[in-house]
Amino acid sequence: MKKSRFGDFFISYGYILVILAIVSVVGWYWPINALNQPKENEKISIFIEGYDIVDEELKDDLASHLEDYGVLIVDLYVYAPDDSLINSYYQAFGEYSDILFLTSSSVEEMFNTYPEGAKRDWISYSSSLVNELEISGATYYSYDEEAYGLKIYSKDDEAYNRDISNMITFNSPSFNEDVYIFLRKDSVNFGEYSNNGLTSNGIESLRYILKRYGW
Amino acid sequence: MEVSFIDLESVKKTRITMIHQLGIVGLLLVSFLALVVLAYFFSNRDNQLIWIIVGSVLTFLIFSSIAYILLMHFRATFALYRFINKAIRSPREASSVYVHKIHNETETFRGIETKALDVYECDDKVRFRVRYPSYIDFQVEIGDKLEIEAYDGILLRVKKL
Repeated sequence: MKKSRFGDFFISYGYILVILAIVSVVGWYWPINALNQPKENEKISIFIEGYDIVDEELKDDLASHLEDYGVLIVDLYVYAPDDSLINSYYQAFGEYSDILFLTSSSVEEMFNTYPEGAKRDWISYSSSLVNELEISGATYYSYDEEAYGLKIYSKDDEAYNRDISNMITFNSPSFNEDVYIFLRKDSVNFGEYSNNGLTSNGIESLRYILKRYGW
Repeated sequence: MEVSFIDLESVKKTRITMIHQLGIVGLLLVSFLALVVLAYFFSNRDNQLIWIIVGSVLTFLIFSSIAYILLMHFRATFALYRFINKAIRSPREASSVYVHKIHNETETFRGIETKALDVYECDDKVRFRVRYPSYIDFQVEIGDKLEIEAYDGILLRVKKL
């Protein structure tokens, strides 16, 4: 009797078993993955308005360097500043990145369109921050007497650029602008400089990059 | 020989069977919840693949078992319970019949697993089919004269004359 019951069950309700199998796998895969996803303080994201990546090892080297700081993932998003979809790329990746390399026209548009919002969104380069970055001789994009963007590429002064061209190509035959590094205030990776700082991995990342390219 | 299929005792037995079945389903659900809680507290990046595999397999087995119990056992038991409750409250009439044919295979009738007897009335030789729950074991032979009470085509009481 029992045997035929099992047989009847499989014959009559086999489709339920197939659905259960699929639901079981999906039901475990998605939540377990989501539960163990790297958190914001375990990731560093860098958004760059630039052309070709010259230093292919940068991402892996930075990730290795930051391993001891508890960083699991380093994301590098590089998009041409004159790409027609640059605004979409910015919305998808730039808005959530910790460190952003932005061209002067992007910066001007930001501060001219919504200056109060821009001042709220970005960390200003105070003297204590500059000391932590261990750099000197930098110029900045300032607004209302606060320095918000660290100039990393000068279109006119090749000497200022140091070795940054070994990282990314910032210009093209049709596009050549200054580039600034902005630090997102909402990021959890800038310690006391962030709104809700949990780590200082953002500062460590920027310090590593600047040192790597001659600063 | 007199066999009463449907009485207060059978109501009680059926109810207890249903409670046992639901109890097993409850235990299975609790074990699934326990598995989820363990996974929440003990999974990490290193062992997440193991948790996905083990969790998927155990979840499939647990819910397949629940489906089996509900669809193959509880549904029939519940149908029987509902029938018994209705039948017990209904007025009954006794009929005298002869057994014409005995069917050994089971069939689901009104949601209840039953076996069938073809009988014909002693007075007017009208032939009809009656059924009884298949878990009841009673022996009749072709030609036996029976006094029967039935409700909705299912025997409630049988007495051999």
